[in-house]
Amino acid sequence: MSKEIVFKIRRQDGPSTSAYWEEFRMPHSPGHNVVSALMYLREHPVNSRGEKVQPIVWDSNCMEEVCGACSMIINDVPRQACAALIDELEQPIVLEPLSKFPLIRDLMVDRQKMFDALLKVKAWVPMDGSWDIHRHAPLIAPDDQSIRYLFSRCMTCGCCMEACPQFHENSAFIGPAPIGQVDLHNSHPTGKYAREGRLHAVMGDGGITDCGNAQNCVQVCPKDIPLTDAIARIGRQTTAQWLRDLFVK
Amino acid sequence: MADVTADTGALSDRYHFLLRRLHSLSGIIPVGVFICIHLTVNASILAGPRAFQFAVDQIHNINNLGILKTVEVVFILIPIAFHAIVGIIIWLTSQPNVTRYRYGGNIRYTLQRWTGILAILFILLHLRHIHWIIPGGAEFDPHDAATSTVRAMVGAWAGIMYTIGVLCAVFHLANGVWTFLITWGVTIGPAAQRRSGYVCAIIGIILGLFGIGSLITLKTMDASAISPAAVEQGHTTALYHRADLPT
Repeated sequence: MSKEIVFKIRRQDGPSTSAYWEEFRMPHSPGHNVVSALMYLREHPVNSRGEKVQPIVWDSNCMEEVCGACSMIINDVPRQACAALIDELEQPIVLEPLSKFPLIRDLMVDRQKMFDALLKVKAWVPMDGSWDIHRHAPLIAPDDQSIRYLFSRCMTCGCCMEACPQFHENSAFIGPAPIGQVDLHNSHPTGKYAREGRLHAVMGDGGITDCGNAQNCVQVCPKDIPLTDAIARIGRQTTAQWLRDLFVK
Repeated sequence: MADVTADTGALSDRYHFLLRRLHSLSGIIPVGVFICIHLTVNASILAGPRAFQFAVDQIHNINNLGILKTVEVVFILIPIAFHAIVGIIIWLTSQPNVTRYRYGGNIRYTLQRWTGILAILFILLHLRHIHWIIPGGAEFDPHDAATSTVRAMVGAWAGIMYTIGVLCAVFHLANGVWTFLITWGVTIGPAAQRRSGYVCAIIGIILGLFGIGSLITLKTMDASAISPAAVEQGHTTALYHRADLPT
């Protein structure tokens, strides 16, 4: 094991300035992950040429791969920096910000687009009404629970969006994660009541039909969410919804 | 920031779903079905000029009703044009990233787009080469199908163009059946999609063999050696006699 940790980091001072690569070296100690190493570099902001530089900016929060904040591209793979253990990575470790979201600075991006998409597809269970929706929590079969649990682990980290060739600044596609949430909430016993609104939300421009079936989403998802199952299921549900709209209404 | 909760009334938004689903459907019915028939009829040349003439007569006998050209335009050319135009729009909104993400699915996604574009170019060249809709090309004579086709296929350019074009169209169709099943929600889980993948691969291999097999046969056949008697036999074994065909 090397005595040093070498980073090659794609940096950018602001949203409109140009990007540049900078190399950093730091002493190796066991148990580091990318976030803890970045914390060390923040305390010692000196590049490999010995120049004192502005500390690297990145986003992170929970340190246990559940919040989704520290997504970045590590050695060509979009993933969570907190769960990327240094000893398991090939060196030099190449860090890049997610490319599909507006860049704020260095490795920090604005993932607002994803939250807007969740709003658009109504990814929640409506509980407020003038009547009791459920006196008791509805029963869910254990098999259904275990499938739905996978989708409930989505942390809007943006890795699936980053890898999707259909999701980019010139496309209206909302991306895989919000479609996974449509599937999750449509399968919920109470969430079902608002099923139609969610399906209509993904039947327009940028909705389910804009998926190109490259299936990169399911390959890179750090939480192993079966996103392509959700996409096909929503494909089936929107087909049925379209026929209902055509013949029943 | 746009108001994401508002229902947009834009025409493109209201018809987006319909347009994309029609694109998906048109790739199978009628375009995919047509390609299967086309390549199967072509492959009959493997059994000789007589069998080829017989197969061609089955198609051209439609003209007993005087509707062959109408059928071609309405059920083949217009659906292909629709599929191609929407396909180009889809191609323009894709950003392939196969250099970074080298997964099988992603490679097929990228190939699906490029084979689609190449197939459009091929179809235009193919129509220019041999189809009546663009006059001035080689003559395909339905009364002497083998001789006229063998003559039209002379030259290295025809061999290269048809090999690339047919393989692109076949891949695009086979992979298109696979994505069609996902798009419409028939195959959902990875195991179901893997199984449908095998079926689509077999369809693709069979159609590819049909296409390449008929190309090789046409390229190696000597037009002057095709016996008029064999062609005549092909006509007489057809459901209708050649006299029924318009001249």
